[in-house]
Amino acid sequence: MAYVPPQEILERYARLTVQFGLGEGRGVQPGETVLVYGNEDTKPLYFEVCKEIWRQGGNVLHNFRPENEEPYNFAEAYYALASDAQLEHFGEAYVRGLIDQTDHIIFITGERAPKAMQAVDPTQLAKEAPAVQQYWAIRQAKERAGKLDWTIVLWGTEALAAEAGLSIEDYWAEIISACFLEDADPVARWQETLVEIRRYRDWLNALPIERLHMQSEGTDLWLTLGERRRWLGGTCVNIPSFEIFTSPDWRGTQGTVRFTEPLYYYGKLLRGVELEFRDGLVIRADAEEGADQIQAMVGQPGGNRVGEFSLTDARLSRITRFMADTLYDENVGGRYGNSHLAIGLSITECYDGEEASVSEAEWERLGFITDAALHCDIVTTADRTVTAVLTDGSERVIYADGRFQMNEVAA
Amino acid sequence: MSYTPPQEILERYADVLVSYGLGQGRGVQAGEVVGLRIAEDAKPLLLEIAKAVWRAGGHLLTEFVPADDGHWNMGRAFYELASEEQLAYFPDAWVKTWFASIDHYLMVRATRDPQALAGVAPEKVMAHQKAWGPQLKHRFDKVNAGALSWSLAEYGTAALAAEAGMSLEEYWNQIISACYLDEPDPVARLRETGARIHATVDWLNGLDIDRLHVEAPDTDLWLTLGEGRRWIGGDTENIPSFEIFTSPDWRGTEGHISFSEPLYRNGAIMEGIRLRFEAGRVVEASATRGDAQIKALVAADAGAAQIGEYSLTDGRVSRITRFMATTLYDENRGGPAGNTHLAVGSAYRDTYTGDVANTTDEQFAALGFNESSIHVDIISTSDRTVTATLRDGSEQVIYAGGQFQND
Repeated sequence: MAYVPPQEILERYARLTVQFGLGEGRGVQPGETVLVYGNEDTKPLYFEVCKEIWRQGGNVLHNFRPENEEPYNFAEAYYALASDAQLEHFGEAYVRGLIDQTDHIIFITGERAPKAMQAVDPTQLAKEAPAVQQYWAIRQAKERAGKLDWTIVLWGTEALAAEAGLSIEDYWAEIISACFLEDADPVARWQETLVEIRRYRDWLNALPIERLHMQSEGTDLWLTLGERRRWLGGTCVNIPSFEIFTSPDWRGTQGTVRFTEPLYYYGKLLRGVELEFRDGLVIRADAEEGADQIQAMVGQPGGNRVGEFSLTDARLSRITRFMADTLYDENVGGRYGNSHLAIGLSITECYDGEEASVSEAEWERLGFITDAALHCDIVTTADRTVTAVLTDGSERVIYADGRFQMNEVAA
Repeated sequence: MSYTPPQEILERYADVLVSYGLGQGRGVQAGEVVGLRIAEDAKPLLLEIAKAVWRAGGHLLTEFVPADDGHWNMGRAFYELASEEQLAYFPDAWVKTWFASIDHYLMVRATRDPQALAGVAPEKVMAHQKAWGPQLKHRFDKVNAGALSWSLAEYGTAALAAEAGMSLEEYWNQIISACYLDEPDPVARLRETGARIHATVDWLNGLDIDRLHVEAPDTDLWLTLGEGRRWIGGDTENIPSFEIFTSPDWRGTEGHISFSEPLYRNGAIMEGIRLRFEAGRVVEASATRGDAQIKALVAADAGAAQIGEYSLTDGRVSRITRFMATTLYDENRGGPAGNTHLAVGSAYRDTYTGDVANTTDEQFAALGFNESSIHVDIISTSDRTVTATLRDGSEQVIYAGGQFQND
């Protein structure tokens, strides 16, 4: 049996996931239904999460999944055998029924063999894009109507720890610290942290920002915030989440960005990713490792546009190390905090209004991407300066040396 | 896992299930969707089943069921924590669209701990099962409309082998032999056996039986076949299947029957089960072990105290020679006296000779087809004689010494 954290830690983790991660911090209510995703190896947490849902009076829909690992590599077998008709198949009725039934979704991520899909032909994956787009459309319609929410938590596996260059004990220590699981009441600690993050978020939202200019070694990137945008942060959709992010108007992106952190995408490792934008579209995608993969990704529907821009303050984040997993790496603190861009789907919650009342045509007019087949975060931890151009034409450095540059205002 | 069957055996097993077990022997066709409900411990077979479906051009919707054991016992935790509302919860939208979306339904069981739910209050289990009754209905409505095929198979586990007093390898050898997986073309052999069983089915259906009298040690039971009934056997819904069965008119059941074989149900064991019927209903249910469970079982709902199936297996046809501690095998067991079993709970509507799809629930009820949220087979292997009273009043022994008397 692989390493399993102490029972007390598992129970706190489950409580945090169910009572804080769902319902925008309110937790599961009696009679609500939670769809739980987790692989075989996540079973110790999966089990505690189900128990916590039942304790709260909720119902569980299981989506337990076999690990992909030799000699049982399901993904590799599927993509090797599947015809175009199979890859393009979308069980719409089934997905609708499942989403109809569900009030909350918990994704317990973490795999025994994170690289199991590395030999899969990217062109096979790309053929699934129309089905993936339809899936997202169904899920997001319910999310925008305020009737579905979700959270993601990570289960540490030996393989992930090895990728990050840590022992399994050290890897879990990072998870435990980041989620306040050493504290008897992690939910209370998170509520406090949210207040802290929201101070910065509110400060950003009060600034009339028109454009952003991010500069660091290898990076000179302009972003346009766009109409009716807001910054979000201190939400419960990722545990842990320290970042503050928005979805800019994709059309206003210009320049070059270089990402320092490795990226794992469908089991493939990409390093040294660089993207160049002109008039909102990627015109050059390269990588020191995995160049064909990043090119395949930007070739997917919506993959050549920016769906998210995010900043994490090093003082706020309790994650100090590279974790070889997007959930943690996009929230990493350390010396300079991090910035990341996502290619693909926008986060329509960054619209500062009633999402449910916005038509598809209106999303398009506002420069939100709602029809992409992916949303992939790419991270840099280089020392960056982010300068905002405000609507009155003045400039202001909002982020430098890994910290938001908020002037403390006396109460 | 101490023993995993050889790759060749797993491939043949998957092939039997996907190209013979589904689609009533025709197999999965390109573009069709297979709903697969498979237990965690059957993972080696899951991969081969998935590959067989994908090779056939089909799509797979998989429900991978976590195994309950002493450490992570999801089932027990649920029953310990659930309120009445939670016990009664049924995810109708999801289950409905699951069945609406699939063309075939394949279930593969693998029991890690046959007693995972021992000690759980049977009323709670029954209440939950009753809530899930519509699942059976969604499934069989589509089956009866001819739009869904299904099949059930067992994956051998160390726990079931121990329960049956065998090593895991010996246990698998029973599975391998019963499904002809030790032969290069098991599908061909299963078809031959199916044809042999069909010949006996045709003989039985030609007899015009009114009532059946089952006599065996501590057993004296009368059954009434009912209007428009037929016998069924040699089909593909169970892999393997050697039995021949029908769904009698439940109202005509009188007398008592004792069952020699243990019953594994909801993670508990029942032994020495005895049922007494009056005017079609169980009026006395007892067991030497699990007495509370059998009483709760027949009280699950109105139909749980009425029979839904009666079945006989010929000892010469069945390749299952040992007790396997699982209903799928035990209800098809051969050996010196073959087996007989009856099920309390829902009837099989495909035993009706009429137009099943266009017969209403009310018409089925009027014909004495039982309706229930459960269907539980209880088995006896003791030597028995079954005498049929034909509609012309004459009597004919149809089964004795573990063999149908059609030679």
